[in-house]
Amino acid sequence: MSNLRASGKGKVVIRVKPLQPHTAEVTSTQLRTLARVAREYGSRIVRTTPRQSIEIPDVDEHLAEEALKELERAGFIAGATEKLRNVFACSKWCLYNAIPVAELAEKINRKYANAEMPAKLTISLSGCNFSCSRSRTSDIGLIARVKPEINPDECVNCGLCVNDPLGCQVDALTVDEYDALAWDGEKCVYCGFCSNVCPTDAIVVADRGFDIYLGGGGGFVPKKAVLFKEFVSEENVLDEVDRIVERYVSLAKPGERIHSLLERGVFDE
Amino acid sequence: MSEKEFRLEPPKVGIIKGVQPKDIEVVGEGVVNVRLRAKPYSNSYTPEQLEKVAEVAEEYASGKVHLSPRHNLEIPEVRSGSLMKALQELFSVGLQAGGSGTSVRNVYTCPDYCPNRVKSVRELGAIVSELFGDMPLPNKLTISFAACPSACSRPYHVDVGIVGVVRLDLHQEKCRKDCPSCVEACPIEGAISVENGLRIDWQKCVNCGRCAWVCKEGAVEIGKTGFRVLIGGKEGRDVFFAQEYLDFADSFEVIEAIDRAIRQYKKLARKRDRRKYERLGELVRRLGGVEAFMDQKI
Repeated sequence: MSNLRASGKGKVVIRVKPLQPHTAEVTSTQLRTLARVAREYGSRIVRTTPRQSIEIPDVDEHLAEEALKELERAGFIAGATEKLRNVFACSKWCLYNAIPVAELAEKINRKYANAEMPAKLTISLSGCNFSCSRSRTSDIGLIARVKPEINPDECVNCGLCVNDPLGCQVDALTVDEYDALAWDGEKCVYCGFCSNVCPTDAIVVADRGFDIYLGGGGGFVPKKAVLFKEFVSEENVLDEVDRIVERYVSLAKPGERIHSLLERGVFDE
Repeated sequence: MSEKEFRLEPPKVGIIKGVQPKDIEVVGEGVVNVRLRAKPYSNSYTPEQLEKVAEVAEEYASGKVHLSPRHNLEIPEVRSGSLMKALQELFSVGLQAGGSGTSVRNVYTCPDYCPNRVKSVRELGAIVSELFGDMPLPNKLTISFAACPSACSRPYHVDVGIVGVVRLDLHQEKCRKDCPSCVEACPIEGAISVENGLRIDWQKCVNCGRCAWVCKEGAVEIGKTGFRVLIGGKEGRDVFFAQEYLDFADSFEVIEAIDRAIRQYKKLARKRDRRKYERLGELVRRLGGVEAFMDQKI
């Protein structure tokens, strides 16, 4: 099986990604299944990987399929080697979500669950420009952002958007000596949290969308992703990802990652 | 000690203000997210720990658990009133709140079962976690250990990255010249060649030792193993890759380097804006490089 890696004599590592009911998180029932499988088939070890996958090492080769089936019944799918790696999504419980991305991650994970790729492909989704889920160092990175609209006339000078604990974390919003609300687009990370805090219409969300980054990676020689498309709407973002993956699959040589295709000019338009 | 006598101190880190999805008006009110790390340090969880997390998530929160990229498990939507009770239960299986805020985040280490590792990093990671874990600092600081230069744990993307590396011993006279196995095993194009005799381009070589694993003639062998120490990387809004500080260190030198980096960072960090201090990577850049940062007299 291609989705198992050797971990010593006759033993393999099972790597799975949570898919149902949600990606990027597990339910208490799923945790109990992991515990049971690690106890019965493995060596009582369950490890979480940097891409929110889960590994159970030291499973007997001839029992691996059985163990994997049990995990699949609990809503996990095998996270393989030459396939789409787990789509990495940040926490939907975070305060700074311009757009919660877990659902989108789930759609992508589901769509390419069994698709073969030329090499490993990492897709990471971040809910805001802080990019905790490493969107700028993944093959394909999506970063959600809002376009805020500032209406200083509506401001009632409550200070919620400026002061701790809920005020802007990057000081993009300030109130000057005349109590006028000002916004600094250079500092802003476009998370839109201020619009949730604002009790009036002084700060509203004008639009939501995703910036798409391509060609990042870790490994022997780390690569920084480049901005590929700016502010793709929520409705179009999945199609845009599809187009990128399609082009990657059809034009990449075996083993080639996206940064190498970028260098060859394949993604120039 | 009876259960009644035991009192857990409220944790300084690991409690994160959060929201209930689709219910953003109640921001921070009534619920918190609890980020957990294993203490004593471990880079994996036992079945008992997972079962306890499942139990706590069901009883005091929404029954869901978020997976973080630094080995942490996060229980979201824990009701504030039940927080200490939940923590007490988790404490009994060696899980504590931790790894958030402006402090040393959970130490990341590769697993010992990976066949590619050139040097086990779990134990050294545990020592570093014991020494520096959750230590309050001007801003957050991340430490990751990779057991080989393929760097799955992303040591180039963190404040202090440690990479297991090999020193190769070459015995040119043993090379058959017509055998391509080392060239095929090498992950970097052009780093090793055999047609004119065994030759390694040391500018390109990443010291992973894969050529030595496949050479049957003993022409290239693993001499010693050690650690490369990288400093000043960062992910997020701006991405910096960590730069090499030591090319071949032993375990003791690794701990010394981490200790030095943390001390220097504590003393030299300046405020970035009204709220926050600069990250270690930003400080290294401001001072003009890793050497300037590490050697600055304070």
